[in-house]
Amino acid sequence: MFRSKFVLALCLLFSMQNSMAEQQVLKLQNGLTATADYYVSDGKKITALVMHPFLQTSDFSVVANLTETLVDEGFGVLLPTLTLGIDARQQSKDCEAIHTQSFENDQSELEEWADWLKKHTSDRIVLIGHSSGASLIARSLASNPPHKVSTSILISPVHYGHPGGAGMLPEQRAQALKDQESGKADELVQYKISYCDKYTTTRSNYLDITSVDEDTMQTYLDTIKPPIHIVYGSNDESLNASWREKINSGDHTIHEVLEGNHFFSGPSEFDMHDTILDIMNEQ
Amino acid sequence: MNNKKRPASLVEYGLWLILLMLGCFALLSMFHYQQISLQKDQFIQTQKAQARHDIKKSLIALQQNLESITDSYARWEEVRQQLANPGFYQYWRDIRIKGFNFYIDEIVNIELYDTQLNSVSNAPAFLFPTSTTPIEGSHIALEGDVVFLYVHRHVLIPFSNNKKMGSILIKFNVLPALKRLHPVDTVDMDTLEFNISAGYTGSLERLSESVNYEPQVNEKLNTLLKSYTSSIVQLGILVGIIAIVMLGVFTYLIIRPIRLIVSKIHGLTYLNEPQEVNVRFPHRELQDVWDALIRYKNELSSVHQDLNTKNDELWNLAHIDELTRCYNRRAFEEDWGHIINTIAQRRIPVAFILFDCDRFKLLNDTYGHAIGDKVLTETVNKIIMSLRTGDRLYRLGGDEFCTILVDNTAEEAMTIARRCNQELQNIDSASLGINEPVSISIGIASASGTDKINLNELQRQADTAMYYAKRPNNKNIAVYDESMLKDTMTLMNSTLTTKVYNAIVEHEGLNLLYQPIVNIHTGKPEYYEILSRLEADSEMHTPDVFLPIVQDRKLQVEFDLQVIAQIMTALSQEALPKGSGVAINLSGEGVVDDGVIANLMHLKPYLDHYKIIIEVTETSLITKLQYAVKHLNHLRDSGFLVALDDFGSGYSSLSYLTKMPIDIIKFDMSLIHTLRSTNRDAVIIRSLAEMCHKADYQVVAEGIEDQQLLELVKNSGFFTHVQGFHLGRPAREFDIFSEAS
Repeated sequence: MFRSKFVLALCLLFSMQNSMAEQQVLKLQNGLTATADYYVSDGKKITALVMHPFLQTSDFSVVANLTETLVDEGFGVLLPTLTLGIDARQQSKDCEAIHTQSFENDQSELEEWADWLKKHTSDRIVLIGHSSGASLIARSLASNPPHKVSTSILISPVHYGHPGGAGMLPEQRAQALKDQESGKADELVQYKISYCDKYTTTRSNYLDITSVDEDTMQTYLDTIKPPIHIVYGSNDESLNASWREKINSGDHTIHEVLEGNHFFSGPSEFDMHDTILDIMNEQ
Repeated sequence: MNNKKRPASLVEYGLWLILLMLGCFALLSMFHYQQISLQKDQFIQTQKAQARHDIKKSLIALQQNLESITDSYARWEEVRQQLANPGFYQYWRDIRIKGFNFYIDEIVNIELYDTQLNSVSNAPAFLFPTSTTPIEGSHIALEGDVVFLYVHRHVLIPFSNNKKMGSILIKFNVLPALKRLHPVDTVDMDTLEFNISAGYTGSLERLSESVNYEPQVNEKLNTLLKSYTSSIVQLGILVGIIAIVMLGVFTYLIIRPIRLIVSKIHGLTYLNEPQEVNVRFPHRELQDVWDALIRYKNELSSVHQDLNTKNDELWNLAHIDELTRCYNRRAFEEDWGHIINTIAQRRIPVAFILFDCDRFKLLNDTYGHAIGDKVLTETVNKIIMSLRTGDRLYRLGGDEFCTILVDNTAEEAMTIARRCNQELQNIDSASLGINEPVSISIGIASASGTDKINLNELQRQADTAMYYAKRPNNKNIAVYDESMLKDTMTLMNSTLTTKVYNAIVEHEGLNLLYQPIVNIHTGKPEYYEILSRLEADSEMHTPDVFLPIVQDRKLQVEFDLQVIAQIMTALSQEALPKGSGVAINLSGEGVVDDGVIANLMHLKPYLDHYKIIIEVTETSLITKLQYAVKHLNHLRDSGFLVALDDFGSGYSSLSYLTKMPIDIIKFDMSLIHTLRSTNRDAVIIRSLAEMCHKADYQVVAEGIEDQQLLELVKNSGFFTHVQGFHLGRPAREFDIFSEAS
């Protein structure tokens, strides 16, 4: 463990990447253009598709640093950026921006990238997602079990339902449902969701996102065929006791990183990376 | 009043100095303020030029900034989102754009257009300007009074080799943007406005040529100016305060002590008044001055005290008679002048009493000056005892004294004079070493409130009265009246005085009359008393007229010698029948004069045929009594007889009489007339005559003016001779002796 940490530290310190990223542009079925950083595996026949969390891009530190670690270890990585309705999106999207994309759109983009990866590599594919990226992977795997996906690693997976979820205002969801039933499904409304206080989207989109609650997520996790590794920090406040209990009760491997928070800030990031590497190396 | 202008005080000098200092300070401050104002004007002009340049730079920077903002918007992914999916475009354009990091408040509107420059909105804020070519750039538009800047940028499709997705046009309000984003420090941005007209075309840089503005008030300069002004005021106040403090200190340290010293110096005028010596001054120099002043004052006081003592002594020397210790003539002159000035023209009565010692010269010559001084001193003591408290006695000279009684009448003066006479009678002559009694003659004059001239007459009047008092048969005291003036006029009569001199020197005018002295037993004249008459202006003057002149001129001896010479002539010419005789009156001065005695001795040859009697008065014998007695004895021894004339008019002392070498006693007519009375006075006179007769004196009764008196004298039986008008008036020798023959 100590050795791997030391190696990781050196790698991060001197930024010595053993391979250069190739930016991939994918014309999506919805007409938008999506981009992704693609690292071809070097010696390891495993390529990870790493999905960034809510409203972020591939430049988000958790996934970017993890990608570097994986690439440095010889793993291939495809690190796409969801368009979130914006053509060739390169910037994280503000909460107050107009969010017209649905969870299904995101899932579709993920699956299109997975398909793209299947076409471009013979490596076994490991899906890695952080936070809502993990939730997106869980939903996708639960609904469309892909080929060549040997395993999935869900880092700090979250849900958006009540209680304890990212969308934790039950009365807000109830009001949205009521308004939707009254024919106001496509009006823009600002909701409190995840870390956003004014998440601007339509009621239908809001209801779609917040439909992924604890139970839904548990269902996803129980449905997924490939082995699931769930990694979370012992200090992750986004995972309440109820959600953590449900995670732990499933038939998947749990990896708790001591003193790690939701974003594994500080030294716990190395432990998280070591954990991921261990999982990857076991494949 | 002294019209000489007084010099300014130190306070005035101090105030002028302060005013001068403040004036110089004010002028200097005004000069500096004017210089700064000029610099300020020049600075403002420079600032205006600089401001225009700065505005230009700011407008350029603003244009770059606004274009940069537009660029940022053009690259904003949400713009592409709206171009691709403008479902919520209006919300995005009106609300969401404000959330962009590069949003500024001066963005009036943003509008997105497709590649055909059609707005993606069904209700665009503004259409793409038709006058503007669809190329990237910016242009200015004047809408109303507001200047806007439109910036146009193409929105490119990512990864499409700059393929245009649409356009974005942002409308900026230029002036607020300029004020907020690129304010010009040198311009008062509130005054900045653009001065362009509709249809203006050009860049923001060119807009700098069409701006109205006011340069920014240079706060630093204003602050500096205010600070300078404030500093000047504060400095002025400080200078004023310092000046006032300095004036206070100056006053405290210099002026106040000097004033104190000046007041003390004024106080030093009163040397005898106690001075506050322990005055403390705020600094050593004035303390030294004050100490020196006090030392000087003490020395001056000592000198002044000595001077006062000397002055007192000098005053005493000047005003007090050294012998008698009464006031002298100088004191009299001063007091008299003062009294005259004080009471002139006021109804205040004044009495003047003049005292003169009788026969003092004779006493002095007889007993010597020491005895004379004692007599004088004792006389003064008695007079002073007689005066009232406060009355001053002045010695006018020799044996003459006076006193002035203010607010007193002649009667009150007479009372005092009598008291003096009474006191003098208490003098024991023997204790003074003289045989004669001490007496004084007192003249009194008075006036009741009059002018100076009349008051000055008082001295002369008192003098006249005094001489009148000295005359025989007077009471030694006389109050002046007008009748005395005639006598005085006699003395002052120069014609008569000339006659007296002529009689003595030129032997002219002096006539001798003979009055018989009759032997009471035979009834026939036995000898004749020689009586002098002075002929002047066909008038014969009796002795009471000219003798005062003789006495006043001290010519008694010469007069006696002249009388003796004429008698000798008469005897030599045998003008008198042999067997008769003559009685010659000698003055007191003549009796003691060797020349007179010697001349009398020239008559000695005639003693064989004539009885020659020397008549002296007891008064004349008082002075130089011993000398007189010696001469009289010598005459008696030579065959002359000596008669005491006017016995009873003077002292009539029996003891005195026994000492006199006399043969004949001539009773004064005042005594003889007493025989007419029936009281004891006549008895005393008769007894006195009897006593003289028994003592073997020839006794002559003078003043026999009628037969009755003659009979009384005869009947008394003690008189040997009689004399008087009843028996024979004084007449020339040829009238008498021719009748007799």
